[in-house]
Amino acid sequence: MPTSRALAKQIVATYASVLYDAAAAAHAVDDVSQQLDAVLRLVRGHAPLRDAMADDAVTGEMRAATARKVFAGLAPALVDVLAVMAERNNFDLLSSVAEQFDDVAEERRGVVAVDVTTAVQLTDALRESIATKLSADLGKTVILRETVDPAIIGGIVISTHGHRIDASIASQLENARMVLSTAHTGGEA
Amino acid sequence: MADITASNIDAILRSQLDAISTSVESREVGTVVEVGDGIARVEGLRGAMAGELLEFEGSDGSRVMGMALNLDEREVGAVLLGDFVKIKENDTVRTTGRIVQVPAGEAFLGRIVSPLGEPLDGKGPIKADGFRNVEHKAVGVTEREHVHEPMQTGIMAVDSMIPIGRGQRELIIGDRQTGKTAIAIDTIINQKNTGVVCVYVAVGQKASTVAALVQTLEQYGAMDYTIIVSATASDSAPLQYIAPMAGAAIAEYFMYSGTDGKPAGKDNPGRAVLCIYDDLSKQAVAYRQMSLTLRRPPGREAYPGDVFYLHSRLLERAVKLNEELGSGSITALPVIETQAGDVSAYIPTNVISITDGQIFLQSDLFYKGVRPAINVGISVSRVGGDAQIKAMKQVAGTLRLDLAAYRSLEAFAQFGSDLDKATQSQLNRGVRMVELLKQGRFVPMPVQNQVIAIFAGTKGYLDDLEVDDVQPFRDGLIEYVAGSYSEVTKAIIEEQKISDETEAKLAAVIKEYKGIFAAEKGEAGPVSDEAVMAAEGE
Repeated sequence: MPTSRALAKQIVATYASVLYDAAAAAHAVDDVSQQLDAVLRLVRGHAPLRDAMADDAVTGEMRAATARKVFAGLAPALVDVLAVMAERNNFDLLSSVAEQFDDVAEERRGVVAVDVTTAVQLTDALRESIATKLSADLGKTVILRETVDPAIIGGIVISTHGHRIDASIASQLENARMVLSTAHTGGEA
Repeated sequence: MADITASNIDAILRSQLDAISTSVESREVGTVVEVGDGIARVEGLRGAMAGELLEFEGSDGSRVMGMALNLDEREVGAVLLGDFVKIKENDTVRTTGRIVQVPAGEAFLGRIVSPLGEPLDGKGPIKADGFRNVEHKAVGVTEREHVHEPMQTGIMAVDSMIPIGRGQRELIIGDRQTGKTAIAIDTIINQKNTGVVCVYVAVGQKASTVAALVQTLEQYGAMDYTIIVSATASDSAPLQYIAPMAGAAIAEYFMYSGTDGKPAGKDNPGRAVLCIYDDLSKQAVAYRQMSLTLRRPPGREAYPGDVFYLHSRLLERAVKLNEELGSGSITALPVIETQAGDVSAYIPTNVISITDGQIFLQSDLFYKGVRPAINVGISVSRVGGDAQIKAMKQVAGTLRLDLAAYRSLEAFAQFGSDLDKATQSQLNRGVRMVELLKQGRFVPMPVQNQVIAIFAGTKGYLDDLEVDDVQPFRDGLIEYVAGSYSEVTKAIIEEQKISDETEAKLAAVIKEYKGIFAAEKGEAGPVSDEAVMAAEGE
């Protein structure tokens, strides 16, 4: 286990850059990025898996073999990196690696990935205008990662880099519900 | 009340809808990594503020609020203020850009609310005049004034020897079942018709205890000017932790605003508020639980290192404002429960050192029948002296000394007649003064009556009464003066002191009543202890 913060950062940077190089060679950077997010969510919500990946009772090779089995079917580059992380007992760095990977991808490609959620499929004209607007705001070429989620009813949710702009009908309605169900009025007392 | 018509309802709903902000803001989002014990660790949220309100979005769409406490390099440690079982890993968390606030307003008077300002008494929603930050920085030096007005508790032993002033912080400390809350409640009841607003914060108590307390206050008509902030033992630790601060925030609203609800100033005096934190030991325990689950390092008695600061910044909010700011005040009466009289435990020493004095209650006194069970020897008020009215200072000046002398000689009392005359008279005086200061619950005594009673005691008019007669005599005397010589009471109230004229008159009245009292008892005359002792000695 790396005890020093600087050392941990170096390890994370190495994993991220290796993963990027492999993904870029396979032309699968966006796929890997999305799969990495999925893996992260899986690991966070699955304590037994987390424990197995950090189990000192078994050898590194066995942990790596488990990781390969669990994550089989993902991009080969990602599976390799995950297996090495499991083998070297670095699985707790996964979220840092995922974050760093996105940063590296953004930096090397000069583009920024933005998650866009809408209730219905975007039309080409809309896609174009959203991308232009966001490019102007962020100062970089924007790639949209689109998701369709009817639960937001209408409007759009845009998120990137831990920031989110929520202009969905669902959240507006929720706000209205909150305001109407409380009698508090007025501002600063 | 306006007629209920469709158009009225429509207008009200419309005005409320106006409050909805339709603008879209960019918010930071993070992800829950770990959740349990009412705390969550959240990845992301790099720009979160300490104490910021966070919004957790459960997978079923429910929203739970939280408060950011630990700001680490990669993650934020937050406590959840609501139903935390709905939150799971991978749920989204949003910053809100504001720190934890509590609503406050005139409509809160007479209500029971949670530390977040939600009504708990089933009397419907409360209209707030605005929100105040739960964590509010205490008033600075230049905005303060020295404590100079009395906060009458109606309890003789307190008002005479441990006087409390408006803006003071006086600790009520003692073991369990020694009458700590009773002192607080009597003080609230005594604020009737004085314009003082009372805030009672119940932390970690049984819900039944709080219910009984509310019933008592209602019975004495004290709920009209009282707000109860309740975080009972079944509420989560974060709620118990913020309850005293929320109470202080509501109190500040009243201090900073006049009776018209407008900001207080020179021409619009702010209100005097009495704030009772019952009790801070339980808040410290809740804070300890939170800190340990947030993995902050434990210190003495496993409390976190900043538990002193937690209490000092809360009690520093007690203040007497200067005229410019409307002369309002917050008087804080924190309560601390000790274990087996141990005041040298961590939390008691902390709070003793922060407050401007303490009222120390002892169980052995309580069981001896001295109620309120105040140990006047070690109870002090460091600033309240200035707040005492002159009349009380005049009569109570020697009271403390009398009682101190009595206590030092108490051990010799069993030798009875073998003692010299001076010692005997000191013992006589002491035992009668102790009797005089006994007082029932829920019967606060107006200060002018206290003055009369203590005058009778310190001037020696009780020395020849039987000890058992002291209390009936005191109550009878007060009734007699109020009935037949109301000008004496009036003079004390108006002049705030005992002039030579009043003193002479009072002495005459007491002598007069003594005759009546003796006659009522159906005896030829009072038999003095000294006379009995002298007879025995011969």
